[in-house]
Amino acid sequence: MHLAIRLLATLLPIAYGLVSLAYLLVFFRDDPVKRRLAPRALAGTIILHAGFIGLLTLHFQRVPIATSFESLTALSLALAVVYLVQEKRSGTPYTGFLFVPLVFLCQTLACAFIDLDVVIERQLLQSPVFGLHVATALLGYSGFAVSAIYGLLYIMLYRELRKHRFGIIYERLPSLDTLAGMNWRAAMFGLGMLTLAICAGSLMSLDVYPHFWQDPKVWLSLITWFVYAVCMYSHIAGGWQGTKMAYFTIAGFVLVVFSMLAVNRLFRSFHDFTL
Amino acid sequence: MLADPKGLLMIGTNHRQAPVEFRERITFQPEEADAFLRAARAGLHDSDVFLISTCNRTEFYTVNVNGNSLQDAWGLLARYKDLDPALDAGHFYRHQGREAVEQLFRVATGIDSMMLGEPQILQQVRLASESSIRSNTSGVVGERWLATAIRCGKRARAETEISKGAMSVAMAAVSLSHKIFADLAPRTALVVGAGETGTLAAQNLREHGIGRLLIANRSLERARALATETRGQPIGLDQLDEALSDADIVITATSSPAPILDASLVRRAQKQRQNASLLIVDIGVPRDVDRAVAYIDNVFLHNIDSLQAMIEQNLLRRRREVPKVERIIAQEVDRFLDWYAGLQAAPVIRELRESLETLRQQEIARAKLTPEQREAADKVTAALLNKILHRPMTLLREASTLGETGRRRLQAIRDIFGLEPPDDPPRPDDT
Repeated sequence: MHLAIRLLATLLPIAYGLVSLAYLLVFFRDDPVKRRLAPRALAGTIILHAGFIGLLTLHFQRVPIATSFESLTALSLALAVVYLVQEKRSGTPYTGFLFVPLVFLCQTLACAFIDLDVVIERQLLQSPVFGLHVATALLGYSGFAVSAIYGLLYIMLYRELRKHRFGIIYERLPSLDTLAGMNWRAAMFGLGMLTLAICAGSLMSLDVYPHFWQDPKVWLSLITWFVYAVCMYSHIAGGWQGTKMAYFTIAGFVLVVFSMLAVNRLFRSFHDFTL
Repeated sequence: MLADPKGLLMIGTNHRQAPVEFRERITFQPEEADAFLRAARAGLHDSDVFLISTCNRTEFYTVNVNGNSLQDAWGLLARYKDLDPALDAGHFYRHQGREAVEQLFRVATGIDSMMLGEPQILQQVRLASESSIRSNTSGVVGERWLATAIRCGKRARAETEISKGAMSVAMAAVSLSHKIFADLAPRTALVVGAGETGTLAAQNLREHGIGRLLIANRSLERARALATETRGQPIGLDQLDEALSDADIVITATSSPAPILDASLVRRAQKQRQNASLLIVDIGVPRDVDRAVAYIDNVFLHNIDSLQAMIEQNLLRRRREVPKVERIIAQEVDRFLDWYAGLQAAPVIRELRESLETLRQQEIARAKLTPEQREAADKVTAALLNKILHRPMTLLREASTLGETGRRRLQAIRDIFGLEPPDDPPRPDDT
């Protein structure tokens, strides 16, 4: 099994690298063959990636999210899945040139530094509710990441249109309406998943960590949930749209990443399973 | 020789070769084209003929199987259109063989058109094919030539960007609308000005499925006329304020000396529209929209200069696609000429099999055999003949793709088996 994991840890960055190249060629050269092949290659790589995480689960005998790099590989998979679903829904492969290289970077880092010999004995890590909590949290944050990238694409096209530039961004990106729809749907998906993650986490922690609400990461998740919920409400009720929504989702995601890094550095949390 | 590529001929004129007055003289209307094709087929000893005739070009194609020449084709066209051979011959280009095939394929892909990559020409080639079928003037070669040209045109449009991007101001405005709004069906457009440009804009929006169309004009009567034509709703200029808050797309094309839309008017409308995206295309000269409107959030103001810039960019991109289209043309020309060369082998294959089969049956008939013995001999000799012919047949089929070597091989097989030289044109069942 060790050998199979090592083999996949080498293969996955190569596969994501090639898929990234295909998506870059689709965007910059609009190659019709690559346009058909890129999503299929991504789907194949996702299956390999899911196999990799399955093998890690068998190897560690627990959900593989105890260390940063284990979480990073799970996050990469979630990001790739959320993007592929969005691509299928929208029918345009031209936005993959931003997403797939990001997945490639995350997965390369994860594969380079993942420690197969780490031993963590926690009953909690084997619970199915914990699995649900982790999976929904990762999908939620991936949704926010995807939403932020669509927000960025919206701003890029918006600026091109305002400045009367009709280059490759004008040519390849879908309409502002479509980008705004993807931006909104991904944020809604993220919020829904985060809600589930918070519910599953709370349910599970009632017995194990009775003072779970004192944990900084719990607070961070609640603040993130509240901020995105206010944004979604403003969109529905207050007519927030276009650039306002796009800038908000970008700023929201940047804030989430930075506060996550800050919390990890400055505070102790029961979410760190290596302690 | 049969199926020699040199037998594929064309003569024609286009916008580069002749002035519009001359092109007008030799343009064919559909019924006239049918009559000409029938006369041409008779005049060229039953050769396949077809014609492409648009406002920018008239091209006459023929497949020579009976010793006709380019000169014969030219003479026929000149007589039909009453041309002066001495004066008008210079307006025509002539191609033969591979170049003639290439010319039709260049036309079908749009790279020979006045507006590079224009899509309508493929429809003209389809019409040429229909006309030749209707007038019964195109045989298997002519039909295959046209069908391959149509496939070549389709491939060029699907595999390259030769026909992509707007090439007129009205289309550029529609292209901008599509870049902002995913679907025009739930959208409202306001066209201000019912003159020639406004009419074109309204027609284009209607063709592209705009949901609601408002037509504003100083004269309500003209607004009504255009609204009737485009299934729109006429309004007076005094209702502009109200219409603006309903519209997602505004196209202005008036000759007003002062701007008719200022920033405060648009700001008010945007407030009512909850700051949703608003596309304003100002095609008027002098401009109809105050330039300060461009600074309002979620408003996209474009004018005639920006639309022209888009058109030029599209043209540049189409030019960059020409080498890709030429590669497709080369592939399709090779494929067509391979098929055409294959027509040489078909009669030899048929004759060889027929001659040996006759010989076999004669020998069986001559032998004194009982019915059972005859049946057995028939089976054995038929199997033997198939085995003997297997290798020569394979060589014959290969010969179709080997050019001059193939022609020599065909001749050698004719000599060895004592077959007569061909004198019939290729038949559809030979293919």
